[in-house]
Amino acid sequence: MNRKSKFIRRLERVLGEDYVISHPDELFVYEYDGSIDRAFPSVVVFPNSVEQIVDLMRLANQYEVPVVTRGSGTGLSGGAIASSGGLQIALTRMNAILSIDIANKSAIVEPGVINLKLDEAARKHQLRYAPDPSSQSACTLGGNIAENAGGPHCLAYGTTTNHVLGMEVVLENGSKTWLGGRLRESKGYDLRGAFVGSEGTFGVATKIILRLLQSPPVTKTYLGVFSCVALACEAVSLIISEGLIPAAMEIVDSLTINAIQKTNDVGLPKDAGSVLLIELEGRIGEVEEQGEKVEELLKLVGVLEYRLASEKLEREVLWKTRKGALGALGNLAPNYYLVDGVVPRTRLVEILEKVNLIGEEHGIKIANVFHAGDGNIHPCILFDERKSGELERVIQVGGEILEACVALGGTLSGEHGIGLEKKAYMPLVFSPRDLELMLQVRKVFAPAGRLNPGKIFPDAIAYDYRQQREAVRNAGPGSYL
Amino acid sequence: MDNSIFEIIKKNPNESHSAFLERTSNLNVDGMLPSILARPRTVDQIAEVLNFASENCLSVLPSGGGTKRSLGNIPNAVDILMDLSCLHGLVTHEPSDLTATFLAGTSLTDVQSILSGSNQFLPLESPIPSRATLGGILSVGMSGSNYLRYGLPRDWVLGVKVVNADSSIIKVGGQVVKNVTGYDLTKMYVGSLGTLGVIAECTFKLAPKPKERMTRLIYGFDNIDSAIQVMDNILEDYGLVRGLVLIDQEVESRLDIGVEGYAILVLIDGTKRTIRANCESLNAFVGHHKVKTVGDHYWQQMLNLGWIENGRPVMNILLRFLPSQLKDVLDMVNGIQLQEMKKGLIADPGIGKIRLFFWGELGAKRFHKIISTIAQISSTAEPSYEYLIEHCPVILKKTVDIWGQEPDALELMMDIKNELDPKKVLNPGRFVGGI
Repeated sequence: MNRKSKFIRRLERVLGEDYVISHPDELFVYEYDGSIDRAFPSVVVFPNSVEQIVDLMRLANQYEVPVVTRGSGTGLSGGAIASSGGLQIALTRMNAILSIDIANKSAIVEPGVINLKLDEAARKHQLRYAPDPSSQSACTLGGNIAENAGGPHCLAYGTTTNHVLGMEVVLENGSKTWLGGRLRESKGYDLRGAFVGSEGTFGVATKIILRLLQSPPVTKTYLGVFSCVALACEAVSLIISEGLIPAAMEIVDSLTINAIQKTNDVGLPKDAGSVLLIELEGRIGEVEEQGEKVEELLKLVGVLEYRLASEKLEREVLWKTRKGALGALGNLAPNYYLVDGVVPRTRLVEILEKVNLIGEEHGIKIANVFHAGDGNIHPCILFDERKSGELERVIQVGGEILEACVALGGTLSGEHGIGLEKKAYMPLVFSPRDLELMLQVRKVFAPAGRLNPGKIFPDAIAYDYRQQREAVRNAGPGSYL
Repeated sequence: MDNSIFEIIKKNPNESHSAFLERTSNLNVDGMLPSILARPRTVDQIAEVLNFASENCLSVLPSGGGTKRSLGNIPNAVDILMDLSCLHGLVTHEPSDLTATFLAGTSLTDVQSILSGSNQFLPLESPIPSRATLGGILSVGMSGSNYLRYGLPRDWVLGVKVVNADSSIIKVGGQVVKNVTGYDLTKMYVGSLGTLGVIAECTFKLAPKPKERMTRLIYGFDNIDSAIQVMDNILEDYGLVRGLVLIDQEVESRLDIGVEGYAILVLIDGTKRTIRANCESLNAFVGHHKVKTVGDHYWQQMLNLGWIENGRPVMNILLRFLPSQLKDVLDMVNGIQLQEMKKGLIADPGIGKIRLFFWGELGAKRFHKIISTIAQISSTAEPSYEYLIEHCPVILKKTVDIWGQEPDALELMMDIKNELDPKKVLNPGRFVGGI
């Protein structure tokens, strides 16, 4: 029997018993997200209004309980993992698209709305929601805001932060405020910009106003086949330096091509060294003109063959292939660890060679499928968790890849966030004073550091919350609940 | 005090009072003359100035080209004017990466001429670009006339090096086009009017320079409704124009455009082929109104209006609203009747803003009447409307908050200021809520 603490009973009074779970069997699902870290929250709650969230935050404040917010749990850096236990607020019930303002091209949504659902709703009005992470059919917009999520089409349209106009947020102490609003520009400090990508450490976004874009009249998707990855990268550099910014440019390597073909024959040549996916969007005439230029450049680099997906259906198959590439890797190994790193576009060839080398040194296979146009690499380290010591080795390989990215003028994450996964590497990029500045800003939003504690900052930097966590650990799990 | 950085502002023994005023007129901030002029030439020297200021409890007003110095409430104190225009030049430019880093005192004109060799440009716009510096443009952080295609200044900044009020040097963001490593504090500095730190270096994402550009003037409207209809149609056509504004008779005559009534200026760019095709599409929307090609220079002249000395209005007010509110806001603005004064406007319906200009004698009574009419719009329209007075006579400025209504998150903003600049060294009193 799970002896319910006073805290849990008070949570139940706010939400009703059905929307508070604390039995270990039920909590099992909330131990995971899309990353390799795991930890149990002490209690998970499912609010359905901002008022309830205000009450929850006040209670958590009163009982000094850490708070971790969760969308669909698709994050890849451990952002939704309750690594210090405590209260997990799952926002999946707050999934209403409150309004779509066609005249002003914006939408007001609750944080639990699935990314793709908003895009689909917008498309009925010839509008679109541009950020399209590969998990868009499952991930929530609130989660996208926490992580400043990206996606293939960020090359032309920018990441989530470029599409958020305003947010109603609830802070650590239960106070509620608006950051930004419905206007494109607003006065005062751009705190909405600081909040997006704060990985749940500043507050909970309870209402979100997003910018929608007009749908382009023409879309053309090219698939180019190359003998090696380096040539595909060269094509990407050439296209950009010729003054073309396609909507997306994605590269898939031979290992991944084979995995995809094994799952589902989409007609990719098995002996190809790499495949480059290029999407052009724009006005009639303009896209054709760009297409001619792209074809010319592909030939110049020595493309083996290319084809144009002219029909919508064909295009969708190509994108499904790209976005499903990770799933297909299951054919090659029982587990994979997806690394997210960034280098300047011109260093792509170098970093991929380095990734290869690191893999060879450790005797580990690495597949590559990535947002080439942004220099955002995604090496997938293939492994078998059951083999002893393998996970540790994989984490070592991931670290070496990130170090290599930074050494080439890049950084630790392009779209997955830091979370638990990469916090130890932050000193590679930021000085202690740089990190302290971030903590100063966090202190304003969350003075006790109780929102998503233990994320982003390396353990060596003392958290306000850390001592308390130690005390909690000594007292035994759930003892403070 | 290092004499190579600091200069005490005082009248020379043999100098007449009028000569002294003339010599120091470009250092004047809202009618106040700083005691010290600081000219740092390196990032470390910025830190030195801030350290000196902090130790002596002096205020510091960072300044680039001084082109928008009238923006902001009257400062609480003007002790040190920090002129950053000596800190200029390119740090790195990687044409194939479409990124570049510049020192903050680099003028926009210099930036564009450096980049144009690679057929690239930085999509920031500013009045008087030969003087306006990157640091200044980012501190103000306002959109130009190219929002439709290029968005806001915040969208182009990848990272900045900042000297904090405590004289520590920090970097936020990075050098790459996609980055979620740590908090995105770059955004916080853009548009903070120099109240959080001194931007010393900035890294940008760049854009390929369009091959050609063409400006078309649509005119001959009998009434405002038909102009709005034409604009709506143009804006609904995906990617047709890169910029679009509505101007009134007064602005037309100030710019010597030589047409009557409301007119629409649109900017089309791309290859020759694209421009030809887009012109055809545009003509279809013009209907029975007139259209002709005019010079590209009007775009810069419109940006300059309100900021250059020559023919400068006595007041500029910026209104922001939802694009769908354009008609309502125009009606209210046109309701402002002013004898012996001239009023002009430039409206940008794509982003939802109107810049209002007033010329002539502006007394206190008339000033408050205008402001109360403008403020009324915010109570009658809806919360998504705001105004700010960009420029007005100092004597009148003392009687209002130029930022209009306080933003919702003002308390958080004040906490940020207290945390990062507890001694209120940087630009004290100029920003929203007295920050």
